[in-house]
Amino acid sequence: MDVPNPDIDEVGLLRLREPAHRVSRKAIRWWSARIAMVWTILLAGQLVWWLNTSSFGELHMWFFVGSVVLAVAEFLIEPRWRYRVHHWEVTEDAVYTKSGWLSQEWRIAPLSRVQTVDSHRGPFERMMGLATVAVTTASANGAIHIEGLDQEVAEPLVDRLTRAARAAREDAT
Amino acid sequence: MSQVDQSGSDTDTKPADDAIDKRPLSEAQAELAGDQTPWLRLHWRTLVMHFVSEVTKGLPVLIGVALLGGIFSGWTIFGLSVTALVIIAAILRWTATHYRVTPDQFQVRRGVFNRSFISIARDRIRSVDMHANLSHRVFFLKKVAIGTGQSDRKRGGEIHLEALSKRDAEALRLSLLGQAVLDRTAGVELARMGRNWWLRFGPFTLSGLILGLAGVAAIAQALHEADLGRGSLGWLRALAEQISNAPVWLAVLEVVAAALLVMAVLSTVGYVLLFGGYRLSREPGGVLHLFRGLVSTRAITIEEKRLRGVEYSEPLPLRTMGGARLIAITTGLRVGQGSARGGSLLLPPAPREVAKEVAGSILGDNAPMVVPLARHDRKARNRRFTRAFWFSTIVVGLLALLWWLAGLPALWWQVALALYPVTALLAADRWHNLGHTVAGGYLISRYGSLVRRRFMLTTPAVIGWRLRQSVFQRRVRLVTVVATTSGGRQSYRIPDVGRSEALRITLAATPELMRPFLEPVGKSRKPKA
Repeated sequence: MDVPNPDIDEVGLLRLREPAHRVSRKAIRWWSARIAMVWTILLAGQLVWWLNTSSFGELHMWFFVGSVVLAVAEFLIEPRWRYRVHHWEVTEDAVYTKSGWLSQEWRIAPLSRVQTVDSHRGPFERMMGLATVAVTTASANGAIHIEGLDQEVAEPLVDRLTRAARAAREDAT
Repeated sequence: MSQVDQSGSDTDTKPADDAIDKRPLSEAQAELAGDQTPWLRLHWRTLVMHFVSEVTKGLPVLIGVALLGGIFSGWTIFGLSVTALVIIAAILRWTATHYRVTPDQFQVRRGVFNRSFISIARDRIRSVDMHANLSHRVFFLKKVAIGTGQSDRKRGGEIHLEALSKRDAEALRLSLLGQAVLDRTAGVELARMGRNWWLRFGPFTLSGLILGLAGVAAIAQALHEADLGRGSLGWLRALAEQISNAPVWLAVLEVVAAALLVMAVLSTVGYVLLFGGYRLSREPGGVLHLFRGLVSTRAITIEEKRLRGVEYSEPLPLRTMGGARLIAITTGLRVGQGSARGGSLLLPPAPREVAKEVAGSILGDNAPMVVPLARHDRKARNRRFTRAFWFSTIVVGLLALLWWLAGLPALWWQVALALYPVTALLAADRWHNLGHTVAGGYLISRYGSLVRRRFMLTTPAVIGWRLRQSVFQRRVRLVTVVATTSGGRQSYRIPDVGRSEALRITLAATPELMRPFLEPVGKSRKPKA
């Protein structure tokens, strides 16, 4: 199309390459646990509702059966699908991630614009030795989260990102 | 040459918490002892203003009470003492508040029981706004708000002084902002309120309507309190009766016409109050000055080095009248609801040609505003119509289901059938409006129908990308490109572009960032680590 930039006209059709690394295999279990928890609450709520109202009885039952089928399907499919999609990479200059399953998203942020780097671990993550690394920029909508990293990978990564961001910042001024 | 900051430095937008230093006075005592700069007080007329406004607020209640229970009833005395307490509190507050401008700080100390000390480093001060509402105007006072420009994410990046005389306020503003003088004739004028704008665009302005409605609510409240409502509501009741006796189509027509008329009048009044006396000028030292408002005046200062671009926005009613407004993309100024209350509105609803010209002179370059945009993939058009179709179908389907199961009148889903042509028209307009390009150092995108926006964001201000694909977008290989930035709405999107085109956009805007992650199609993928 007519974007007047020689840079791209010589490139032709482009593709975004996959970020270099996968997340930890243990993330599959972590996602499964999260899905199981959410669906347990939803199904329990439905069950209580179904058993406590007399009208619409049959409709409720089918609704409940449908939910169970959905829950099982999501439990079996989503974590594995996510594992295939989720990738991350940190280069000299940028953080680059891909995440999602049905809907997917690529995020890219230059290290020179990184403001904070931190890692956090929820209760499930802690049980499985996983961590999430979060990188924020000056944009409130620009944060990048790398979920489901092995604890041993996350710690040095936070150090490296912090140092890189600091160095880039000093260079920039 | 572009007036917009091309260096893209964002080091000045670090988290806000350290911009305003607030602590108990006792802790700051030692620090204060060394500085001999004299402390200044708020203006004494502030006291009179508080007194008068409290008394006027309390008066209707007092009169009511006195009429009911006699002048010396316990309630009158109670009401009087409450009013007295409020006034005493105001006096105490006034005596306790002091401010001063030291060589490197702006300091305020205040508080009667919890005495506190507030300081802002002067180089962190981004705006000095002056407000004057009706009671300020009566006493020739100004309320001053000093902002650090850190209100992007949350409120609280501001200190208010209630209130100073006009001269003191302007002196303060002058000393805090340097040569950025509030002078309604100084600088290079970029735009001012046109003679017939209020008539042409007033009726079609939503922020005007909101203000108008607030005014009506206030009047209704006053009437209610004064107990005048009962008699004057008679005609309303008569009207309601007439409508309920008329045939349906006539009643609907009457109600709609009346509502439109009232809305038009209210928004026009609101428009005039909000934007009357509007003037935008460029001051020496790279500062834009904006002045607007009839009753409550606002003077807004925008540093051009914090400006990252401009958003040209046309709500549908305004667009049909050939109007548009401009919103600044700048760090430190919120894009508020209706954008009139936030300070980021650069140009109130004005003729399209004026808006384009002003955008050009603010950016220092006409090109971003007039450059033709690349159309999107035709698949984006299909998507607009598919979405319109499914939206209508779901609404009609739900209403039909309710009619079938729960006995909702059939009229509901029959009326909802009108959604099909309406949403189809919107879809066509949305498709027609989609466009994007990267040109002259700006990332430009246009989208929307009910509110059509064209944003022009300088490329160094892009501090990251998000490329999103929903399930449906993945099926047709379309991508929504989101550029994140530290100003304005924090991110700006280009909806539904082809995958390869999406990458061309990101590459054209930020070649160094994107090049390492792109590969030409056909090359085999890197083996995974």
